[in-house]
Amino acid sequence: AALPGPAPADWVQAPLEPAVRAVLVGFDEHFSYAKLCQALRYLLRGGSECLLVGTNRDHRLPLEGGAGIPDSGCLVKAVETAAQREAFIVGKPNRFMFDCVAQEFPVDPARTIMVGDRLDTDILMGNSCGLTTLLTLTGVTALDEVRGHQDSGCPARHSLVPDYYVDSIADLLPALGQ
Amino acid sequence: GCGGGGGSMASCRRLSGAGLREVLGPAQGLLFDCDGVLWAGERAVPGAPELLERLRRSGKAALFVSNNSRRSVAELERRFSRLGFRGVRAEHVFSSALCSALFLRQRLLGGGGNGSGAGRVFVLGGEGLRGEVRDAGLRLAGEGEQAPGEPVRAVLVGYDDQFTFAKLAQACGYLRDPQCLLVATDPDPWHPLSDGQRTPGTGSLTAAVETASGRKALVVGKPNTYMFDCIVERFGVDPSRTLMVGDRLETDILFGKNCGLATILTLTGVSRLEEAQAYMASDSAAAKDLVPNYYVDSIADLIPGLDE
Repeated sequence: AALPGPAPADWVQAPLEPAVRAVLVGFDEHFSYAKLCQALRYLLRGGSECLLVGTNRDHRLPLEGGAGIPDSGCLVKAVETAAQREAFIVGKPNRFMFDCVAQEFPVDPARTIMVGDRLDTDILMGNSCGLTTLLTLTGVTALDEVRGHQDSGCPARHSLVPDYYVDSIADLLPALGQ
Repeated sequence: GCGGGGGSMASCRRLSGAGLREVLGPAQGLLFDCDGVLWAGERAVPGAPELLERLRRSGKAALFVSNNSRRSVAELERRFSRLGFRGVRAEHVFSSALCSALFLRQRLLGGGGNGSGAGRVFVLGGEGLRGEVRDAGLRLAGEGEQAPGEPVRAVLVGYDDQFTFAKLAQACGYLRDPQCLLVATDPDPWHPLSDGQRTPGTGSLTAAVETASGRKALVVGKPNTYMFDCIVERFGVDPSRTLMVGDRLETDILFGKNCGLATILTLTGVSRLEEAQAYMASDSAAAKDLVPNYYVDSIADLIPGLDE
C-alpha cells in the first residue's frame, strides 16, 4: 500500500490490521525504514501476544566471484534493536528445522551426516542434534577459522568444530563406488 | 558542590526546596538534552522557556546536547525560536549530526586541509545530517564530481527514514575496505512520537550495518563522551560545576556519569521513575551508572532554585 504521507509521523497514523499476531523477518531486498516502522508498531501493539520470528541469522549471502549481499540476519537485528526484544530464530543453528526433517523422515542421528559450509549455522546445528558433521570448503569458511576454534579453550567454540572436512563435496564420490 | 563523578552510586533524589538551591546555586552551567526535556514534538514543555530565561539572568550557561541526527544546528536554532525559547544560538547546540561531522573531519582531514584526497563519506541519513557533513568540509559519496579512484573513507549511519536494503548493501560494499570507517550518530533504538507510538532509531539501522559488515560502529552520540569533548573545546566547561539534564537513562544519565557531571532526570520524556529505581535496586555495576543523582517532574521545577 502507498505510504500515507512523507514522514514516519504520517505512516504511524495508518490503521493496523487487527488480525496480525506475528512479525516474520526473512530475506527482503525491499526492506525499508517504513517496513521497520510498521513491524515495530505491530510488536508494540501486540506485546507478548505478537510473535517476533526470524528465518535465520546469517549475515551474508555469498554470490559468485566472492561478492556477497546482506542476509536476513541484518534485518532481524534491526527489528530486534528497535523493539528491544529477541526474535525466535527458526533456521540453523536452531534445531527446529532438524526436528521438522525428523518428523517427516526416519532419521537416526547416529547414522546421519550434516554437510555444510558455515560453522555457526550448519556445523553447530549438526553437532547440537547429535549428527556427524562434515565441513566443505567451497563456501564461507576457511580452514584456519576451524583451527582457531579448535585451539581455543572455550567449550562453546568447540561446538563449531566439524568432525570432518572436504575441499568440495565432489571429494565424496570415490567413497561411493562406481 | 554538585560534582557527580566519583565512586558512590547516585541515589535518584527528588530535587525540590532547599535541596534545589543547594544543587543549582554552585552550578556554573547546565547541559540539556532537547527531545522530551525542552519540548515534546511541536510543543514546548510548559515553563521550559522561562527556565532558560531565568538561567540567563542568573548568569548560568545553558548548552544543548542532542542525539537527534535529523536536523542541522541552524534548523535547531530556528526550532528553539519557533517554540518560544529566546536567545539560543546555533553555537550553543551540540547535535549528534554536528558532532559526527566534526568527528569525521578530525579523522579524515586531520588538523586542517581542504578535503582533496581525504576521500568521501557515504551518509545514511537526511538532508540535515548531510548538510552538517558538507559544512565540515567533507565530500559526500554520490555528489558532485568524483575523481577516478577516489575512495569512500567513511560510512556514517544516522537517522534515515529512507533506509533501504540497497543502501545497506552499498554501505557493506564500502566497508569491505578495512580503511573505511564505520561511524554512527547515536545508539538510540527508538524515539517516542507524540501519540505514544515509537519510530525506529539510528541504533536499529546501525545494528543492520554492523551485522552485515561484521564491523563495530564508532558511536558519536550519548552515552559516549565525544560530544562533551566538543563542548569543552568550544566553551571550556568545568564538569564539577555543570549539571546534565535529560530524559533517557541509557543515554543522557549515563553520558553525565561518563563525563563526570551530576545528573538530573526529568520525567517529561522517555524514562519512567520506576526504571531508574529498578536500576538502583539492581545488582549489576553497569546498572548503577544509569541512576540519576536527582529527578524532577519537569524542568520547570528547577525555576525556584534560581535567584529572582
